[in-house]
Amino acid sequence: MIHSTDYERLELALERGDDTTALLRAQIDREEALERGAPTDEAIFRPSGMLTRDAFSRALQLETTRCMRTHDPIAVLVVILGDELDAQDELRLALQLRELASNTGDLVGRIENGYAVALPWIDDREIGPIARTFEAIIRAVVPANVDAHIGSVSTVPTTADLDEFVLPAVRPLRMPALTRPRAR
Amino acid sequence: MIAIQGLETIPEIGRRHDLLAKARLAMDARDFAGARSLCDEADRVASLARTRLAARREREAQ
Repeated sequence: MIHSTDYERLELALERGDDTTALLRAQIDREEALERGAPTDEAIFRPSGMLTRDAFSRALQLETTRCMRTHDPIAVLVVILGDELDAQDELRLALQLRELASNTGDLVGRIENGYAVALPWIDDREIGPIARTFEAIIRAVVPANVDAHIGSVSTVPTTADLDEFVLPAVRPLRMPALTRPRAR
Repeated sequence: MIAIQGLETIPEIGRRHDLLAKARLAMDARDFAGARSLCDEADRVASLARTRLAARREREAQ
């Protein structure tokens, strides 16, 4: 069976690569400035290296537009926290979430009262295992006394999502039950 | 991930992805010059990919 070349998606993959490169260059500049003790541009990155709320929102909108063009899904994972993380915990979270998103463009950033990861071209079947990994990361990083709610969604975006992407509904994070020592 | 028909015919797209991954590793190792150089190479490879894609599109249209 002969299939024709999917030019639209190949071009999108190249466009996405352009954004990833631009983001990586900005990150290199930032890391180098930090090492020199020079001031950094905080418009794109938070001190932890995650995208700021504005930068994440712009990146999500761009990806939503791309996915809409080809009617492809985009997955979003969110964690909403009852309290702010301290700098050290946010750094740990950033490192682990960027690892999770590294194959799809490093889209990890701040949202209102929490953090989110956007994964373009991840569908319903694929989101399950990724969401479980996300949950494990949150459980490992977020202190037990901080109230955490998590959620995930994979959707083919519509024009309504361009104005404001509808983030997934969240549910309380389940903490593992404490195991009792066995009676002798 | 979505399967893209014809991706295998433009190997530069995968090569660019690898170069960016290497650039990220170089940055993490504080080799900023190396990381930038890998980004430059990734840009050159992407340009090649676009040329190849345009040529292929033109051939297929004929």
